Amino acid sequence: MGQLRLEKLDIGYGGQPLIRQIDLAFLQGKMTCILGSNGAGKTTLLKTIARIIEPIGGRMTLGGEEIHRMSSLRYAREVSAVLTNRVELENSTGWDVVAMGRNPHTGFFGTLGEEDRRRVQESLEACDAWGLRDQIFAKMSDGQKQKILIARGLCQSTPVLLLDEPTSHLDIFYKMEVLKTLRTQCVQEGKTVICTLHEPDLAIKCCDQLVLVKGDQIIACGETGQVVQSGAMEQLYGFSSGGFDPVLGLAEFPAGSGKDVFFAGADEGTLSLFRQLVRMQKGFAAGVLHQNDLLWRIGQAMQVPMVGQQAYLPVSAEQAQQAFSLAARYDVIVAANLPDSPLVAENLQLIRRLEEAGKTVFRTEEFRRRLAEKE
Amino acid sequence: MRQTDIGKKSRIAAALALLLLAVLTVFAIGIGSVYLPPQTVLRVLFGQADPASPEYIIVWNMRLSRVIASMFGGAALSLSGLLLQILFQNPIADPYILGISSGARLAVGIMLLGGVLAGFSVTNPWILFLGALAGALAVMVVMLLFSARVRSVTTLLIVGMMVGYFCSALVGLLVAFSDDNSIADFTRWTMGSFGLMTWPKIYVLVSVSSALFVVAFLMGKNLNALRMGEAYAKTMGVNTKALRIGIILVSGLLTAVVTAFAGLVSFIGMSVPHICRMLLKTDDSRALIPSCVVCGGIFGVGCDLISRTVIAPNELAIGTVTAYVGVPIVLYLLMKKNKHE
Repeated sequence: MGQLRLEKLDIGYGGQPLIRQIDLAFLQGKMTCILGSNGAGKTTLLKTIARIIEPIGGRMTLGGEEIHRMSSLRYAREVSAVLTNRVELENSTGWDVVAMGRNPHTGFFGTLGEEDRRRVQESLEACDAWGLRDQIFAKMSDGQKQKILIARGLCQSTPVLLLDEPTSHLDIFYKMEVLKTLRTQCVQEGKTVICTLHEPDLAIKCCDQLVLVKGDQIIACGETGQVVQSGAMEQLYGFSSGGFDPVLGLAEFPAGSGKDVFFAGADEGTLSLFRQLVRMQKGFAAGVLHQNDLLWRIGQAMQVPMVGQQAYLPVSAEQAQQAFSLAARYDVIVAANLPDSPLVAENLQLIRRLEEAGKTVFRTEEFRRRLAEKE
Repeated sequence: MRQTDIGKKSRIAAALALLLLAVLTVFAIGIGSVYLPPQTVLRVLFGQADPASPEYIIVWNMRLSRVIASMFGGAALSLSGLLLQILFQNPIADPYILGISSGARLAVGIMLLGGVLAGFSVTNPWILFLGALAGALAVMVVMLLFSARVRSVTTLLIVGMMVGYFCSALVGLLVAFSDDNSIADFTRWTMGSFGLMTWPKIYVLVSVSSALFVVAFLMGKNLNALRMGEAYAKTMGVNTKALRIGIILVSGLLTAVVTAFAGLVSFIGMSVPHICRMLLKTDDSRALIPSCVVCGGIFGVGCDLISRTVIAPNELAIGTVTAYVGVPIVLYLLMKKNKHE
């Protein structure tokens, strides 16, 4: 077992490079996610590493040894793959499919020994799929099939596990289940997991290393936190100004451009109002918010004009004045239910001033009811 | 169902199937224009009859060769069908549908009639077999070239059927141009029949197909991996290129050795693997290969028996019977399968 490295690798089909000059070292015993838009070549990269297709140029090494010099059987004991290819087996049970993973380890006739059976059981259990062992694979749901296919990959007992879009077509519950299983494999079994995902938020949550593919090249590669900070995520998905929060991995619909509502301060009810107004394509602004507030991040992704203060510092009179001038341009004010705390004393002052200025001011709860009545 | 249970179940099924094959064989030898009761057949087979007796002559000179031919022919076509279904990842593939049988028949037809026209006759069964092999492999190469370009399996099957029709049309021309009494057997052969067997042909059929049954069985583990699809098979360390060539050679040889001597025999290659999969409820090639051989034998002997008895003293082409038996079975299986999905 050793590190998987790609050096100056060109990959693609029929001599036509899809991604050029890939230089990558996958972190050992960690989980790496390859992110990229549709058709970017993520699957091609994975299939090249799995030796399903030949690279066009460059080198792939595992523990310093050139991969294409290794026999396919030996490589199958080092690297296993879970693909998106349809598996058409009409009579095989969950157990039968998982047991296929023992193929590179069994003898000439493929008879399973005691050790093989133990591995099959362990793999089924690791994927929480022991209950599926006697069910017919063809009749399982997508989520159950995926669990079985991942168990088959684990059953191959390889230090490296490749997975092509292991979460697509699954509901959020199964997505989390699948990723939890993979995390466990990394943390407890020390496996190197390399997968492609379509969900940046999940990738940020569960992968240690990110590889971003855009156009015909790798635009970023590194430890998840660093890649997120670098701004490459926004570039990857083409969110030039807002719309996407790389730290949360969340994409938000933008707010409207009207001057409909101003939120003076924020409380627990504010976020759902943000979302409701976005759905109604209304324009709104807010202030003064603390920048460690989740609302601040989401508001930014929604491209909402906001006045902000650093975390844990009291709102200053200057910021309150800024918020006041911003609020003046909006039709309706929604006043947050704020505690009597020095941190937001200026926000309370702001609400009073807006009322005195003759603005229509609603409390959060009141405004929510009015919106509900209107709809 | 876990593997251990399948192993046990398929052993019981195998024992039953072998018993059925043995009983059917004895009856098939006994049934004909002169009926021989089973005990007489067994007595003759185990050498306890006078070689000059009519029973002896009927069994050894007339019936036995035909029963053996239909048994091994059925088995060979079934196994060829199973292998092609795995290769093309399609349950409807078989040597007849893909035009491979037709290609083999065309090659043999050209050899036989070319010989008649040139004034010599090809009688060496090995040469007939090699001719059929050339035809079968030629069609397979065409099909593989298509399959590299055409992703859709349905299109591929249609291409196979077209190749088959084309080869059949050429055979039709051959028959039309050589309307002669000396080729009465040739016409019977093109229609498909196990009734044209001689012992030298049987030796070739039995030796070649038996060897291939073993070779196919030895490929069992890798065939299983290929059932998951070519990409998965590669990640499991299978040399898929070599395996594909192996499958092509074995199924081509199996088809050729039957077609060379029995002409076009349809539907066995498609129906028998289906029946075996349904009965055994498994995708495991290591169980399906032997069961296809045994069930194919039963199917072949049974269909041949029907073809020569229902309108006796005349005979039906074997394809007529296999279609009557095979088409409903395939339709039933397909309907049943669709109901599940």
